[in-house]
Amino acid sequence: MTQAQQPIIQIRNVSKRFGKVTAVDNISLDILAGEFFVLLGPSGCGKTTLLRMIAGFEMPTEGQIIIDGQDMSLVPPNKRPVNMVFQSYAVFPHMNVTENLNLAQIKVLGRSVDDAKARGLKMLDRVGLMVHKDKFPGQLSGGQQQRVAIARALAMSPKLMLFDEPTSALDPELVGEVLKVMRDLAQGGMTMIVVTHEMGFAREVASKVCFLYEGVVHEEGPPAQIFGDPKQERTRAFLKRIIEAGRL
Amino acid sequence: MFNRTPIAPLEYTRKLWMRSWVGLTMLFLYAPLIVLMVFSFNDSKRNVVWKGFTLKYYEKALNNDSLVEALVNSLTIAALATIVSLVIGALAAVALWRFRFPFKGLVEGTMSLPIIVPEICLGVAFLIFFAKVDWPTDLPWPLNLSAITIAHITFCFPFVAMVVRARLASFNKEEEEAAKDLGATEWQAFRDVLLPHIRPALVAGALLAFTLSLDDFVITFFTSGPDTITFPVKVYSMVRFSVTPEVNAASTILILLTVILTFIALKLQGVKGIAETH
Repeated sequence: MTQAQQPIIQIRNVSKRFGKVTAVDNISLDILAGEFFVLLGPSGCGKTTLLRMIAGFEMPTEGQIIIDGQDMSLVPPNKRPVNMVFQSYAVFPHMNVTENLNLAQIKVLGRSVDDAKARGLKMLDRVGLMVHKDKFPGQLSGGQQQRVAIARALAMSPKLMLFDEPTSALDPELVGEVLKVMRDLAQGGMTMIVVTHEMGFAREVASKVCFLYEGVVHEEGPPAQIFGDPKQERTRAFLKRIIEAGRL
Repeated sequence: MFNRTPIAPLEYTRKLWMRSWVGLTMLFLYAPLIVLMVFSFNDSKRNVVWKGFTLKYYEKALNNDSLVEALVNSLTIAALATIVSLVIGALAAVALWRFRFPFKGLVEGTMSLPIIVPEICLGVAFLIFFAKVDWPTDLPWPLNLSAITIAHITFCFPFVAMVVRARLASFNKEEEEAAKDLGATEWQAFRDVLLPHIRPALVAGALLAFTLSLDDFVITFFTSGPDTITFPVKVYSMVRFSVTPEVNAASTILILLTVILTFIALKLQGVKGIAETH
């Protein structure tokens, strides 16, 4: 996690308003290459909106999002060097696992079928699903589908991966397998921005944690500080509720 | 035996009287069709008593130029109406599903009017409309079918839109976002992700449109001219004199055609469709 310490993402005074509702309010953040950056906060605090703005699904009302030195604030999602893993897995149900992995590589990156296949299988092996390469998503468990989605994103060789509550739709016994894949990725040096409610995991793996509340960054720092010695009253209250719910 | 669950109120497979009821219902529904098909092989001019097997009425029907012409007209209209309805219906469904715009409710309501309005009113409306705009009636085939085709599209496309809309309700929008996130353009995401999802609805909608158009009588009756007779209208005019086995034979051909088309459509969805079900 100690690659060249230059920000791969610079969020500069970004705000997002939906009508009269301000979802994200003047946020500025730097995310370094190789960082495992966790966004925390109660529901409706703007963390998913922020993630969607980085992915390009929402355009900021104000401010700039600079990815790898380029202002990408208004660039559509298909032109960004960023890949997202969704809460609902979003693997394509009408294609088998291999087709899911290959389609974008061939059509978007212009890789040859053989190259795409080789890369796809390598990624599939990385998430431990080689045996399921010919299955359809409907034949896989939620955890396996989510791992396919991760492999699919990885196959595109992204500079940065975004995770939007990747385990919240899973049965509890399937959460572990997805977290393991994410942990391996973090150890491999992948830059990741993660919205999660798995606090134990965040505490253990994150290199930086950012606590959002009502669209504003309330506290930002290494996990030991945020979880062990939060400075802000709101952070303490949020963590207390999480501990009471038995998630930390 | 003693650990079998008690029979549920509507578990017809385990209740004799319910099974008989289902059997009788099927018989009631299909007997007329079966009788019609059987009597198309009857060697008798009157369609009352079985006199022996023959194929001569098929020969007669197929040699009846005006009947064949009517059948060709019907199939042409149905094919054209299906294609156009499919495009308009699917686009309307996607637009209504995806976008929010002023008077959306009104647009939706207006769109389903052709389903609600009695056919006879639609028929008269079309008659008046085409007379008022002085729609040309002396065009060469198949352009002379345009009036009927337009009328058929009007009442077919809302059905397609309805079926596609229902299917879209189960679409996970994150799949489309995932496609774009992986680099797909709007068009690629539509073609490779959304379209495969709505394909079963498109097939169902096409079948619905095709059959609705093929057997429509009322609206067609008001919009057809002497040169643009369709199969149902032709059969009606034949039946006015007497129901000959020739009519039976022609109807049997039509039934077979519909069954075969349905079979092909189901087959096309086949194995992949089952694997996709999740």
